[in-house]
Amino acid sequence: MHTSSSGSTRGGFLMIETFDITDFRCFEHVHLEGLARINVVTGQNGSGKSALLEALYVAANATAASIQNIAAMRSQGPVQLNLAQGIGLMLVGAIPAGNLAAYFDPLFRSYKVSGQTKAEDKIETSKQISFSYKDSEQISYRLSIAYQSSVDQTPVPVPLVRAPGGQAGIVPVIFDREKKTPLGPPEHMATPVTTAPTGQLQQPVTRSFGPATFIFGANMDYVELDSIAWFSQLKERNEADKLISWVQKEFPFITGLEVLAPSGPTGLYAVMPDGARRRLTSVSSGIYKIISILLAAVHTHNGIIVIDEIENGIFYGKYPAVWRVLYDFAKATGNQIFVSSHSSECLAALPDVIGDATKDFCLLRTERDNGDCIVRHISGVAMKAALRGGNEIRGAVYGLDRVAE
Amino acid sequence: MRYGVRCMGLTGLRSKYLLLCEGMHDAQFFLHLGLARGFSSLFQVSSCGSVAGASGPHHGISYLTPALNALPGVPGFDTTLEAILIAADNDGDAVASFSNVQTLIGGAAEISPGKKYAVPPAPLRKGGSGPAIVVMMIPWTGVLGALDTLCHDSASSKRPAIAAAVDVFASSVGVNDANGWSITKQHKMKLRSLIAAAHMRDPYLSPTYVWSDGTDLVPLDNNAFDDIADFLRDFPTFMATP
Repeated sequence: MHTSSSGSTRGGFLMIETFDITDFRCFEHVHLEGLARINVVTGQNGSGKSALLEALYVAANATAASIQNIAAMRSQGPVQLNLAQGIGLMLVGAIPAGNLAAYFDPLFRSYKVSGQTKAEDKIETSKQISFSYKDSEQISYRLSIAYQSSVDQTPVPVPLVRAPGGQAGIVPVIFDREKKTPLGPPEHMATPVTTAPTGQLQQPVTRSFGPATFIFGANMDYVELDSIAWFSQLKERNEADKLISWVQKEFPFITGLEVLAPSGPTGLYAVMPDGARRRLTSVSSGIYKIISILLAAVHTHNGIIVIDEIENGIFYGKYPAVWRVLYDFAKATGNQIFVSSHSSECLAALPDVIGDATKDFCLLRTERDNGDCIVRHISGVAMKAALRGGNEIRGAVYGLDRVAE
Repeated sequence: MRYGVRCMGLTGLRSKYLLLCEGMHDAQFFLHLGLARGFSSLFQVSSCGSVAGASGPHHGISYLTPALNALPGVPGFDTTLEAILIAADNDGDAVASFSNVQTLIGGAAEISPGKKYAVPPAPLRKGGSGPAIVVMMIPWTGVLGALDTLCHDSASSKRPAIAAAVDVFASSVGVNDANGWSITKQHKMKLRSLIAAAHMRDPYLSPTYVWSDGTDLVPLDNNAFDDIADFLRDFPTFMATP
């Protein structure tokens, strides 16, 4: 699953340099500094790796669509007032109408294990969710999220906003956004997200504060519609050649890309050496994945691209080329990339790409520290040197019967 | 149980103290000395070349800087590691060798923004914290040679007749100062020759594996190793002393 933001793809946004998360999923508070052009995210299962990526995406995007897409990535359907069984993490039995907590809690909260008694384990819902980040021009952005967990509850905590038109309808999510420049007054905007009769979250059309932002989930079920649009726009701007050249070099059995509609719906097609056209999704899901990501990376300028588990579906021999092209495109377009990987082989391909450009890379390792999720920032120098030495950077492996290494 | 040394990298930093030595032979020595003298649980042992990704068996102190650069990326660096004990050879010039180690430490990148590894002012002196750096020069502070010097002393004590014959052999083939053989290389040659002569089962046996193969070729209870063993055993006290 991936999604686009409502932001401009030609804006003047520069890189996120610092990022703060407060009370989102497993993070009570995270403060990150020194973010780079390419930010590699890794960590053990359950340490907050995906939560960090989702936090970055939601913070920069701050739209109803971002919530819907995170839900889809987590295999939750669109919000419904009558939720079915099995949605979310904690549903047992039928959910009463209007119990929005069943939808929003799994998106925004984590089940906190106290380590003491089961009775003390809980999902903490009373704390304010907020994100803030500062870009390289020292413009700061803040997003607070309040959500209504049921029809008879007010959002927690309650911002002073009313639903559009002053109606006393359900306002399940409120985005409270602020943009602050070093000199000017802060721009402030509180946006209620309402629930339509269809069950879809609706947000009034708002001017985007931040950069264009895209997220590519680990499951690879990327929406072809966006790829088609991006490729068409690149062709129109005469900017598709670089991508096509890369595809031809790495996958010689593809000689070109085209948007076609030979039998109904439009699709992205690969031109084969014999001139035949085959739908890209049927040529290779891995190649389709790479091209989808690269289309976003080359189409977008000065944006943020979030990629979860980049190694999925990609042959290990292609890891160096994928890292290289991601970095080259990021430099050329001004995009900032947050990309996670569990794969030792995939990470081992990084040092040659990093080369002397260690300042353009950093490692963000999510860890559990006494039950709390934390994120460690590791410099590009250390990441490269550790990978070059074959050291483990993804997380400690305990229980090995080894004294010396 | 057979203990071995992993050639490629660390899986994590699991002890408060990391003993970072020059090469695989040194790593095997410190590992087995710890087991023999009862302080193995204090240290995680590795070589500069293993952490830095050196290729081939000849690692050496030149990999100290990239090894130090790599450590902040290894899990446990922030949470577990309190001190890095660097074991380096004096070779033919104790002052120059220690100065070289200082330069290599100083050449490492920042651990975190604005923070570098501290460079200790002298051997067996602490530098900085988070983690602290301590340098132990081998055979010992101010003594010329290398680990092979001590190992040769130990092996010679165990088999004096073979050692005497090896000395004659070395002399007869011109292994001496006058022909440009450094003291470290002379001891390496003699140790290798002594092992080959004493170990009929495998004359090719590398000094690196004399302990893991269960031989008595280089006894670790020899008093040649006492200074090192005593310092390592008392390392927690040393670290706790201001």
